[in-house]
Amino acid sequence: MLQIGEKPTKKNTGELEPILPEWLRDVRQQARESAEENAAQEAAQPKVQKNEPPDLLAGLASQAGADDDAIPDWLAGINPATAAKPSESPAREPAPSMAQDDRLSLMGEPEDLSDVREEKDELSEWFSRASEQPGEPFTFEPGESQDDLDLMSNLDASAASLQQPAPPKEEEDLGWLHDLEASAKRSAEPSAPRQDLGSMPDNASSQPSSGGEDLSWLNNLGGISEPSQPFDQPQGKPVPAQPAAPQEDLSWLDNLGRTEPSQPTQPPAAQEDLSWLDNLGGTSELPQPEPARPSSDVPDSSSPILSPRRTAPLSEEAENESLPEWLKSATEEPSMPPLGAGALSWFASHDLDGNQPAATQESSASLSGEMPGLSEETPSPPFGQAQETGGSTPSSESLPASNQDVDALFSMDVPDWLSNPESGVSDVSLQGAEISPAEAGASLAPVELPSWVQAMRPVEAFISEAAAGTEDQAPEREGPLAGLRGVIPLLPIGSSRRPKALSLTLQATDEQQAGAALLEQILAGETAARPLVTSSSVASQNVLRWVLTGLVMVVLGAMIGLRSQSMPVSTALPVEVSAASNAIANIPEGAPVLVVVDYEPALAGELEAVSGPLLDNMVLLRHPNLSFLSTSPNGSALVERLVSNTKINGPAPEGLGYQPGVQYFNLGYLPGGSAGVLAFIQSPQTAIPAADVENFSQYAAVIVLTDHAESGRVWVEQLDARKQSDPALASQPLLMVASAQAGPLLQPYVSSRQVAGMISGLPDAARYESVNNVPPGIARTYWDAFGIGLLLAIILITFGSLWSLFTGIRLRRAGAE
Amino acid sequence: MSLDLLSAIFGLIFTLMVFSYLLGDNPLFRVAVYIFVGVSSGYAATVVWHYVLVPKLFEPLRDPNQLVILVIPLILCFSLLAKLTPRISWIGNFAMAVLVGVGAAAAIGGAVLGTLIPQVQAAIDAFDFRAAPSASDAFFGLLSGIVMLMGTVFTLGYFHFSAERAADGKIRRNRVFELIASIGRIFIAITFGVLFAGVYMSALTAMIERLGFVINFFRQFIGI
Repeated sequence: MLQIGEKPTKKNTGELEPILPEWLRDVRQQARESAEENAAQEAAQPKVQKNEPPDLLAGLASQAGADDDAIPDWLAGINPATAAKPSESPAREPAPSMAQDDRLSLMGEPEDLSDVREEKDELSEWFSRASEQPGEPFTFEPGESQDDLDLMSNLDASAASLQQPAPPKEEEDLGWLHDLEASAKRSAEPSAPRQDLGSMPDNASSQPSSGGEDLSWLNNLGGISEPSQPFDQPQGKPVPAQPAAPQEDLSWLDNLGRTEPSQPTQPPAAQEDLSWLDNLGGTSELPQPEPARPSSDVPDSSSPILSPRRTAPLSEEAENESLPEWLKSATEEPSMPPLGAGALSWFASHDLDGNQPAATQESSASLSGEMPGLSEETPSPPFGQAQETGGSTPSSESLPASNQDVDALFSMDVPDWLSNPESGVSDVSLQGAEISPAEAGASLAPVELPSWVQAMRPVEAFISEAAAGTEDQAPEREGPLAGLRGVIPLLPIGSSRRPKALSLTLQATDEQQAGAALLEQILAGETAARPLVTSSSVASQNVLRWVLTGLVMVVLGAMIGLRSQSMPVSTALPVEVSAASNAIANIPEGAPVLVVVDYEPALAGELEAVSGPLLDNMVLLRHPNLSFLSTSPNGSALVERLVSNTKINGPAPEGLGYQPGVQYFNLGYLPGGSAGVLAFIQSPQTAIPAADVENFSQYAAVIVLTDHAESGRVWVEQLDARKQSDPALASQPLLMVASAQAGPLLQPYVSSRQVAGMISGLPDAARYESVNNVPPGIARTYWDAFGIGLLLAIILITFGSLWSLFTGIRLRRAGAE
Repeated sequence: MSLDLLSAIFGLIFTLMVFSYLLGDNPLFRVAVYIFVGVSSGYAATVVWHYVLVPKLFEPLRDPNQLVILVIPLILCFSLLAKLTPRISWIGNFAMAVLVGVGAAAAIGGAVLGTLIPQVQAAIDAFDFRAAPSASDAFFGLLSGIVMLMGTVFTLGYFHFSAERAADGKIRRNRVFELIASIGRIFIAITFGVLFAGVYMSALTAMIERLGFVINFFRQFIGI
């Protein structure tokens, strides 16, 4: 079994001629004759390059280096230079393996064709094997074209890398090619038709090629639509030595392995005989694995690869009558254009001696360029056309016929090595090209390409896109696609295949956008932290407070401790103070006077200082009976303090000597607020049983001592409302002794004459005391400190205001700068 | 130790404790405040008991003639205790209504008859030249009346905040009201200043009294 990279053995298929069946011999004889005629015609006519379909296998040939080892023996045997190689005896090998080896060798780079002669017998052996053994279906899948290319490339590389002597069995397979070569040289010698073409690749015997005589029958072979027998590797049948065939008939074979100078030159007549090969691929429906050709018959690595394919049917006139059924199918028009047309054209362009390396290279290049759908210079034509063009291969007219014959050969038994490639190429690529007999026979017009060919064939979409850019693309230089251009379409990123970008912007009017922007600003403002305006230092406030407090305490304490009374007191009494003084003077002697104590203990010191001069003056002048009443629960306790501090109850001569329950009465607490006041005014003894009067009008005066305006307003309102119903109350004076904070609020009542008189704060008390010559009391004692305190406050407030003004101006100047 | 001396000592201590508030809120000040509140509340409760409940409610109940009359106030009094419990607070609603009603009546009557009408009358009389005893009195009366009237009107105009959007988009009041408001702002500021002065004088007087107490205590304690 031929492995990848191994050099196929050269076989001599000339020995297989006798083994061929009679009908095959007849066919071969006819082929030789026609080949001779065609060769003669082509020699006289210039080569016309047809617009053959690109050789899909040309690329594989372009990858050929100097490696000759990958050239199968049967192909290499075509080359006269390789004729010296000993022809190996046909070895009994498994048909698939041998077929695979031959296929690999066929797809490898063209090698030295010096062994062509020796390997011509391989063809006969192959034929014999094919006739005896059922061929395996060779299936290809369209989508595995790349895999096929890889297979071919690997095979080429392996074939080119190795130049080992083929095993004996491979050399024997190519013996028929050697015979072909020899016959090609002789040209005039008639040769027995090759009968072992059916078992070509697996012939172990390497026989000198019999030249074109033996293979002349091949010229008449047509494309095989569906093989009656799948191509199968002959099972190691010994390939008898094929008789030498006329050189003319086998001229096409001479060109098979022609890639190096060692290749035998092919006479022009041989090129004509290869015309049938051009048509091989045009009739087959599915490519079939090529028959296991003798390795010696394999041309150089640069030779085009004859991939299994449907071959063109043979001409109906001559072949249909004598051909068996299995071969008749091969005569049908191939469903696909001859795949190996370009390859075979390459063969036709080279003689068996390999004297046309340039042409071989050109053909190999053309063949490589004819790989699926693409070529180096021209856009990829259809597959069928690509095969028909054949590149620069000469004698393209003779190729179809040759191709047909080759197709017929290839459509036979498909070796296992070809149906199951070892290089890892998926079998799908080969299986995809399975030709169903029904399909092949039913549809002739539409060309059904093998799967691997279809896979290599560019898709229309890609062709349409890549067609324009194919010319701009540079051909590949290495890899399995070496020499090809446009196999992989060069589509820019973001090509038309990409979906169109849809605008996702919201369709909004300008007004809506403005509103949205405004809303966004509002939301941003809500989340944004507002900078806190913090003072530079908080401790300075406490220090300032302590400093001011200490200053005030020190000053006041000094004034109090010194008992200073140097500050003068104004003698100008305010109107309300004068009225109060007048009202006191008008109180009858010993008359009851109601004194309402409605202040809180916190301001007891002020009220005592303010009310002291009035009470002292009234007691001193009129000796009234004082009735102390309070509308707050704590008022009754303040009465004693008041009387004590005002020296009313002090013993004489320091005090006024009033005694409780005699000169003054503490009526206590009057509940009910305004209602209680109203009730007391209506009936004092009802409200307060301890009251010393029955009617409220019996009080000579009502003096209200209060630190808040509410209490004074209640008494004013209730008394004024009672005065309307009781005229006796009209002459009863209502005097107010109010704190400095309550005085301004009770001033309207004074202005409206609802209150007869009012002493508000320490200044009024001090004036009253000064004017009425009341003994020095508390008011005068507090006056100096009070005055200093007021003066200090005025100074501090003024200084602070100026300081604030100055700092504000400086900050504004700093901010402006 | 006499009671006066003891009271003086406690008075000094509590005074200093209250003065400690200058250093900030501290436990001494809080103790002094709590003691004052407690003592005041206790004294008030005692006064109410002795001066209100006992002589006006419980002692009359001994008199059968007054029992019938006092049953209703007694029931209402105890019904007010239900206000302490939310579940049965509805029981004291009638008593509360009587209190509110009677107080409102006395207050409203006094306000109308004792403040509203007399004050309006007084404002009118300020522009009555016939009531003035002399021409100077009349002049100063008229001047005070005008100032009072202007102060009242301008102060009330200051509290008029209706405004409209101007052409430039700014919200502004009417120019007339803007002028009135600005003058009214002056009157309000003067009023606040007077009130502040009064408060300061009251506090100053109270402070002088306290400092005097402390100084006199030490003076008596020292024997100066």
